[in-house]
Amino acid sequence: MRRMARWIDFAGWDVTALAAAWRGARPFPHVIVDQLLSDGQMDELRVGMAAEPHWPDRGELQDFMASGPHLQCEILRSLLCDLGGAEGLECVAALTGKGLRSVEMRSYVYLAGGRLLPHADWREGVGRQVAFALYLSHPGACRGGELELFECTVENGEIVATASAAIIEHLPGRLVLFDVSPTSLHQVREVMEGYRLSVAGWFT
Amino acid sequence: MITPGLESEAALAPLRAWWQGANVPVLILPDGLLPEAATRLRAEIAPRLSRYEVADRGRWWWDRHSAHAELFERLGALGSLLIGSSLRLVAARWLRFGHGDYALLKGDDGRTSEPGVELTVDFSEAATGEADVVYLGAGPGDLWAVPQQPGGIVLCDRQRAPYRYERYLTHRVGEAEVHRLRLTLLSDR
Repeated sequence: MRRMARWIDFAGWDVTALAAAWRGARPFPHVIVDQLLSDGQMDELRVGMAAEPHWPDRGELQDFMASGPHLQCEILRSLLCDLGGAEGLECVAALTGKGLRSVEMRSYVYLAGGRLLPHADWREGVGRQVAFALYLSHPGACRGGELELFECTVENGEIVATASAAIIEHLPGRLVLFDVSPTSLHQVREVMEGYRLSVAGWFT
Repeated sequence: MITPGLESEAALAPLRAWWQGANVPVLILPDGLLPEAATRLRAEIAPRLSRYEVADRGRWWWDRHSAHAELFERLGALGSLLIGSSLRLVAARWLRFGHGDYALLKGDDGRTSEPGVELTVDFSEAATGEADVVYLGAGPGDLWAVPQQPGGIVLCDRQRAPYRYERYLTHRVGEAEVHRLRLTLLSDR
């Protein structure tokens, strides 16, 4: 049966305050929205994640389990519909000042040792504007796995030095939105123990 | 320092024939460095290492200046005999990786447009089970992951494998460290 209930109450967002937080954030624009979902909603999304096939993805930067780019589980797809619906796009566009048209999202499971090493999501011609991550781990289920943002020193268009500038805990129900640019360097720190659940992607 | 017999023509001839005919640009010589030599090298190089950290390139300890005349000469000769062409040393890097360290594609300074090889000697105390060196070619399936083997000597043709990264070391390695000497050797031709 198709789920009709909405996941996110965008009308309850204080867009003016969030926009100010976005603009003032360092080392690059980002904003944190806590308690985006109720405990019941998170439980439902975890059920959706358990039903969604995830595959190992191990490479230069990453070691995690990820869903495919096209979500199969209706529960997760309905969350994607919320984020990419007219109200979601308008709200995120208003607080970031960017013109947005759509959202892509995948589901991720990081086990102990999992990580996503420092990188920027920006790709020429791809159109990624704002990255997001919504955290769904059970409280206390994970040690490590924080989102870390880096300050970059750029010379002649090249990053020549970096420094850790912010570490964001992946609290259950927390949504992080951050800017996509060639210097919005970030990483998911190694999960030291337990597991880390999230859905993440980009507004384009 | 080098395992006895490894530098002999009898040992090298079949490897040279394999190298010249192989589609694989990586050759691994297990147990090429004697364990006592590795122990000595670790002790000698430790005080000379300095930290490198640029997040989107990598994190490691390194020394780009120390020379070891005997070892460099013997490794250069070994490489020359293996590929059947005289090689000259153009760069040497002493590297150490511990938990949390890694080298990404952007941190690879071993690319070369000239013929030659990259020769990497592992002088670690123990295998970590992680710390693969991954070489990539230009094609989508061109990937050669070299496991970390103490004492191992690895030759790589960087023209055929122009990209390299070194895997992140997780908490599972504990206090273990991976030590590598990496030489860039170019053909005299």
